[in-house]
Parts: sequence; C-alpha cells; structure tokens
Amino acid sequence: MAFDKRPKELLDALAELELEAKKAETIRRGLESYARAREGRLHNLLELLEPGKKPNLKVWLDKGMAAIRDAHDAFAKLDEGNAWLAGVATQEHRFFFRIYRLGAVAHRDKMVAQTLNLEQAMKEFENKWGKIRDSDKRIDERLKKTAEEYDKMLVEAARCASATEKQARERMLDSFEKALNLGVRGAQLGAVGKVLQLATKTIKMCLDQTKARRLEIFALLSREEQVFTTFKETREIVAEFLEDNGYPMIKDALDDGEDALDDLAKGMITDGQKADAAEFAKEARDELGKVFSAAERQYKDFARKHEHLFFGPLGGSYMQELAENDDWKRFSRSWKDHRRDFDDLLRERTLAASDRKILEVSLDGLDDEARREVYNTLRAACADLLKAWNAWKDFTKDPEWILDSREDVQSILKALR
Amino acid sequence: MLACAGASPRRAGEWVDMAAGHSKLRAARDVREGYEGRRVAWIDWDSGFRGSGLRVGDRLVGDSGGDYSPEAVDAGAVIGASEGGRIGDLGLEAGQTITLHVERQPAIGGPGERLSFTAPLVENRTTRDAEGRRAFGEDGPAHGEKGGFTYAYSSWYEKFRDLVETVLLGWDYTAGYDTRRLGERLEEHRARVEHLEANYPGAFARAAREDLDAALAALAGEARELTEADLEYRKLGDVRGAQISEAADRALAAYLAAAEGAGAGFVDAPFPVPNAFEVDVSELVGRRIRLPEIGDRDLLLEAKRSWYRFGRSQGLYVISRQDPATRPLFRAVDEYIEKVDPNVGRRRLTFFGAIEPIPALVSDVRRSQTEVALRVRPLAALVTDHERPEHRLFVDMEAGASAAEGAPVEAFAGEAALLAVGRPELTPELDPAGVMRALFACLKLGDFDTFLACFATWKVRRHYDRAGSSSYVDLSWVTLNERDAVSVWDSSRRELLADVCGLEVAAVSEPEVVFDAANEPIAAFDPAPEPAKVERVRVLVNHIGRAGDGDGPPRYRTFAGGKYHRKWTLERLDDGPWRVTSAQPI
Repeated sequence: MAFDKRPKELLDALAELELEAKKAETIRRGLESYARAREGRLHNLLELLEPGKKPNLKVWLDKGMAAIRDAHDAFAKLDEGNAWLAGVATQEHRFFFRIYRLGAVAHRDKMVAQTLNLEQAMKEFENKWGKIRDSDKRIDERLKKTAEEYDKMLVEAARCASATEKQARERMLDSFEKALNLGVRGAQLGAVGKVLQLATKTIKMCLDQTKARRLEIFALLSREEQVFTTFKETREIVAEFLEDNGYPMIKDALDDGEDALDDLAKGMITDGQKADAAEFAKEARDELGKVFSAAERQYKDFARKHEHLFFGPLGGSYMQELAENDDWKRFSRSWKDHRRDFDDLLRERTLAASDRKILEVSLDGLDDEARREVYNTLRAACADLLKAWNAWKDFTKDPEWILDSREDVQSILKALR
Repeated sequence: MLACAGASPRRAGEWVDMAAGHSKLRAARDVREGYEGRRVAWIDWDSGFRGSGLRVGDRLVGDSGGDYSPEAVDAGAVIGASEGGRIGDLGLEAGQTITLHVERQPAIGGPGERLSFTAPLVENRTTRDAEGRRAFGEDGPAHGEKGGFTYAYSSWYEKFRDLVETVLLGWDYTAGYDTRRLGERLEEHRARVEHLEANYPGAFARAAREDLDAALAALAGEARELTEADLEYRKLGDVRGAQISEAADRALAAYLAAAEGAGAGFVDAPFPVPNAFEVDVSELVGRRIRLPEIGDRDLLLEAKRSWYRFGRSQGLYVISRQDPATRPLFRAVDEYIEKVDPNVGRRRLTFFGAIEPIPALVSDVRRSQTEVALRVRPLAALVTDHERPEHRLFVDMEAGASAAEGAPVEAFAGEAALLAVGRPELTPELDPAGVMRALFACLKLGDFDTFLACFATWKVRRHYDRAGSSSYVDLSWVTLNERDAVSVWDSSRRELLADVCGLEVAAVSEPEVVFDAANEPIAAFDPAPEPAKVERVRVLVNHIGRAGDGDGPPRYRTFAGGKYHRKWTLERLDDGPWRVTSAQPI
C-alpha cells in the first residue's frame, strides 16, 4: 500500500483511546476497510493523470466528490466513535477536498490537448505545404514553358533578322547587276521587296508572340504571388497556433501542474495525511512528466517537419524550391545574350534607303530614273522593316524584366527569411 | 339568494349561569420553525378582546400574571387554552380586565414586536331564543337557523371561522396558501354575512362582517405598478420574433434595392468556383455575390481558423469566422437570443459578400481535403431559425462602419424598436436581495448559466453519533444539479409567462450564523478551517399578478398560490458572495 501513513496514524491513535475491546475491534476493522477504499480512490485519481487522449477534469471532479462524501459517510456508520471519529471524518473530508481542488489535472488536460492539437495541426500544415508546393511547381513549369517560348521568339527574330540581312543584300546586289547589265529591274526588285516584307511580317509575329508570352508570364507571376501570399498567411496561422501550443506553453503547463502539487501536502492537517499527500504528489508528478514527454515528442515532430518552413526564418532550400532563382537568372542571361545579337542585326544604316544607296548597295551606275524606281519600290518596305525591327528592339531592350517582375513576388518570401 | 327568515323571538333575561370570566380566545400550538409556543388561533365574536387590537396569529408570551414558562406553554396553561386555572390563580372574574402580552412576528422571522392588550373577561354564557334554541347572542340567529341557506348557522359559522382563521394567519403560515382560491371561497360566505346583517343586526353580525372584511383585505395583496418595460420580457419568443422577422424582410429588401440602385447589386455566386492558383480570377475580385444558404454547422475547422464553407465538388467559397468583418454577425445572434428569443437553436445562414483578392488555402484534415477557395468578405446576412423559419433576423455587417461616430448601431434590423429588458449581473458584492433580483432577471431573460451560478455549491450538514452531533460544511454539495435545474427553470419560466407578471423581494431577515468552525470539533484539528463561518438569511418573495378582469387598464397586485415559493434561504461562506440554498422554482 502506497498511502499507508495516515491509516497507520489512525490505528495508533485508536490504540491510545483505551476503548472497550469489542468496540475498539469494530472501529479498527472499520478503519482498515476505509484505508483500503482510500487507497483505491487515490490510485483511481492518479490514473486520471496518466497520458491519454481525453480530458479527465470532469471525471476527476466526480471521483473527487465521491471520495469526499465517502470520507464522511464511512465514519458515520461507526457510531460508537464519538467525537474522535467525527474529527477523523472531518480531517479525511479535508484531505480529499484538497485533492479534489488540485489544479494538476487541469494542467494535464492542457498538455493532452496541446499534444492532440499538434498532431492535427501537423497534418493540416503538411497538407497545406503540399498544396502550396504543388501549385507553385505547376505555375513554375508553365512559367518556364512560357519563358522558353519567349526565348524561342527571340531566337526566331534574330535568325530572321540575320537571314533577311544576308538575303536582302544578295538579292539587292543581284538586282543591281542585272539592272546595270541587262536593264532588267522590276522583277528583281520584287524579289528584294518580298524578302523585306516577309521579314517584316516575321518580326511583327515575333513581337506579338513575345508580348503575349510576357503577358502570360505576368499572369502566372500574379498567380504565384497568390500562392506565396497564402504561404505567408499560413505561417502567420502557425505563429498564432504556437502561441498556445508551442514548447514554452507546454512547459508552462507542466510547471503549473507541478507547482499545484508542491502545495498539496502543506494543506493537510495531520502528519500522516501530509506524508500520504506528499507520496500522492510524487506519483502525480511522475504521471505529469509522462504527459509532458508525450507533448514534447509531438512538438519535436512538429518542429522537425515545419521549422524553417512554417515558422522560424524561411530555410534556404524552401526559398529555392519556391523562388527557383537560378532558373530565372539563366533565362535572364540568355535573353541578354540574345539582345546583344539584335544590336548587330538590321542596323539602321542597313535599312536606310536613299536614291543613291539602299540596303547598303550603292546605286551608282544607274541612271536617275532607274535609281528613283529602285528607291520608290523599296523605300516603303525598308521603312516598314526598320519600324518593325525598332519596335522589336524597343520591346526587348530590357532582358532582365523577368527578374524585376519576380522581385515583387519574391519580396514576399524574402520577408520571411 | 334564498328568502330571509325573520328574527326568532326570545325570552328575555334567560342566562345560563357561568359567572367565571373567560377570554373567549382560542390558543393553538404555533408550528412556525424554531418556535415552541402558542398563538392566538381565534377571537370569538363575543370576546372582550374583539376590537382590542389583538390579532389571530399573535404569539402568547404572558399575561397580567407574568410571562409564561415553557412548562406552562407546553401544558397549555395559558389564556386561550386551559385558562381556567390561570384565571383562577389571578383571582379574576367576569367583568374584570386581563392584560395579554404577545409577540407579533415580522414577515420573515426574527424577534417579534412585543405588544400588550387589555380587555375584560366575559361570562361564558349560552343565550337561548324564545323557543329555547341556542343562539348567537341576544340579537343573533339561532344556531339551528338556516335562514334559507343549506346549512344552519352553527355549521356555517364553524366553516367560516376556520376559513377566516386560515386566512388571517397570513400568507406564510399555512402550506399551499392560495390567495385567489381562498378569496373565491370567502366570497361564498358573503351572502350569509349580508343575510346576518340584514336580519340579525348586532354584535354577531358585526363580528362576522369584521372577520369577512379583514380576511378579504388580507388576501387582496398590495397594489403594484408594472410598466411596459417590466413586462417586456413576456414578449420574448414568438411576439418579438414575429416583429423582428418583419423588420428583417423589410431591411433585406431595402438593402438589396439600395445596392442595385448604386450599381452594386448582388448576383448568385457562380459555380464552379475557379482555382485561384491555376487560373486568373482577377475579374471576380470585388464581385458582390449571394451565397447559397448553409447551416451554422457547415464549417471547416482548422487548428486556428474556422470557416463557413459554400460548395463541395464544384469548388469552394469560404468566409472566415475570425475575420473582424464577421463579428457583427455573432454579436447580432447573441443580442437576438438575449432580447428576442432565448430558445433559438440551430440556424440557417444566407450571406451576401464580396470576393476578396487573396484566396484561402483551407484544409479539412478529417476528410483529407485541402483546397484553394475564394475568400468572401461578408457584407450582410439573413439568419433563420432552423426549427422555426418564421423567425429570422437581418444583419448589415457594414452598418457600424457607415454609421456616424458615436451613433448607436443596431445589431440586427429592428433591434432599436425593442425595449430593453435588463441584463442579469451576478457580482460578488450583491446582497441577498440583489442575488434574488439577478435570479429573477435570469429567468425572464433566459440566461440559464447565470441562473445556475446563483445557487450554492455547499451545504451545512450535521453529523450525528451517540454522543451528540456536530456540523460541517459539505463543499461538494450541489444545491441544484443540471437535471433538476432544467426542471426548476422550465416551471419557473412557464409561470413567468402565465400568472406571474413580476417578482420582488418583500423582506430579508438579519443574517444568522449557522456554522462556526470555532464551535465545532474541527477547530481542535485545523487551525485555519475553510470556511470558518457560514451565514444564512431568509428572504420573502412576493409574486405579482394581474388583478381583476380584462376591462380597463391592467392592475397588478401581489398574490400567493400553492405552487409558488415565497420563502427562500441564501447563505454565504465567510464574507463571500451570497448564494441561494433553496432548490425550488418560483
């Protein structure tokens, strides 16, 4: 029997009362029966402090109340004890009342609730991370695909410009010679014109497509921003959650429970009760420790899974996973390179047209009429191509626009570091 | 009314010789709590004490010969009981005066007022009429005379006297005292008394009239003014519910019309709901939508958030319950329960809102579903009682923002037109009358939790053994457990909506100490017992009901009934708050 100091104390006190033997025997048996029941009740109460999944405060109060009532009623039946038994009953009433009012079980329930909350929250936040990551991955894939298409357009435009420059000049030269030597102009010039017109059309098509791709990228970035904002909100929710369920709160619950137990023995009346109360508090502390350990384990699991993702500074790997800066730097570099190529192509002097020189072919050798004919035929086509090309160059002049555009979106993640 | 018989001729001067003096009082044991003694049960019509001021119910404590000893009281050797010996010891005869000392008790117990009344002793003579029949005095009817009624005067007078005695003992002496029923029974005697006055005018008739009037006055209660505000609680429930429903319908129509007029009308929420992570939803942002009706339990619960959810397989709209924009809804429902219908249970909700730019990522762990939902900011809501759809309220959640600073804002449409009923506040410093008033307010308003908190969680009990007994305070006691509380609650609230229109505290006794740890065995063992002291008071409660018939403005008077409890006890531990220790309905 663990809580036997008080029963022993009572039996010793009974022996000193010098009662008539039969009466003493009756009372002794009554006290022993009470002691057994008392032991059982105390163990039942200790079981309520064990780890579990349900709150036990109400059960504790019900069992505590029953113990209080029994503490009195048990002695009322031994009606030959007179004032001594009445005093014993009152002392035991007080003993169980103190235990009934013990706050430790409420703190135990709090730790149990924290454990369950952490378990559930872990799943919730894990699910949310999965959704965020998958959604971001899908957006990134579409961004990359769109960026690659954009890239293709840049390449196509450069290829077209380069080919046009070569072909247009060759055709021009060919036309000039034929015009000089054979007097044939019209059809040859038509071929040059076609080259110029085709190039203009191609450049315009590239421009439209890159504009569309850029808009698409902006739209995808906007969706990515939604994802990151939701991610940020989830981190805020986790921060709120940890205010009640974080490690400091779990530790506080344990400390409060232990503090409540520290005072238990002090409130008892007799030495025997004090000793039993101290033993009860010791065992209760052990049980609270187990509950704390379970909560602590759950917290550690939670932290392992979510620290640096949903709380704490955002980890580098998560940042990379979401932001994928390397890919975008690569795209930006590529577009920079492509942009440099444009500068060397279809320069203004190449497409400049006058009655003395077109496509950098001098018209000297042709008569005035012939020169005018060449100029009038090709002037518009050159001007159109030049215009289209300038528009193209203007639109693509900032190859780092993607990095700038992502800056706003990434600032959401950067603020979390 | 039967034909009145004429007075019987009598032979003058025919007396039965009884020269010894008599008080013509009847004394009976007083069965009130804590008192062992005798009280005045009746003052005969021909007693010298008629008109002296002595009353039925006065406690007899002594006479000219001094105060009565307990033995004398126990033996009945008091005036009004076995008085012959007493009068003889005093050497008094008929015609000589005797002084009676009595205690007149206050309503709620405690020491009484000591009074003295002096009156002549009379002869216990028998009067006979000309036909030799016993009669009620020289000018009263013969005992056997019926006067056209069913019973003879002697039988009638016995019934009348018993009834008047019961009435004059007061509202709190006899169990089941019902002022209205007793009044009806007394009225049945009016015809007889009037017959007496008409045909046998004299001392007996005068005494009968005095007794009838005194009894009717005792039953009449006291007038009370009850204002519309006092009675407003009776409108809680159906009457107010209908009023607010009409206001809700008007307000909703006006709200929608105003929105339409401002070019900001509501459309039905489009389904399927696009996924904001996958498609561009910017053109939906700001759109004002009417969401499909849901139950108040159509919730999505997360670790730190809860959401009203709209939609299932075709995408979700959600409204955050933690959003400050939603708070007016909760306040409105609380106010509605308090002021209109305390019985509202589950509700149906129809929201009007605007789609927010930032979507919500919500996770239902139980169903293993995580979805991207469109977040809606609530602008207004129609709340309908699930069980009684005729009860509904309309909440404009932006009303607070658009109102002028400091201007009162209705929690729900029509609230301002409701009169305030008054909140119950159970504060620790309330005196016993205050606690009772708080309890009454809880019953009127439907505040069950505060009602339960009015009751004590202890009991002063006695422990008995052969050597004696001792008191202790059982701190595990529950005066009113939840199951009994529901029964007490229901019957009290039914009465407050039926015959009882008001309750008041009529009297509060002085506190008496019913437990003092210093005087109990625990003092030997525990230097600091808790509690050290328990005090108790008795409270008398008046029930107020409507008096008279329906014509004219309503009048209210106090009344008593067999099912109503006037006597209550409250206690407190040490100097703590007072709490009710009577587990009973009103």
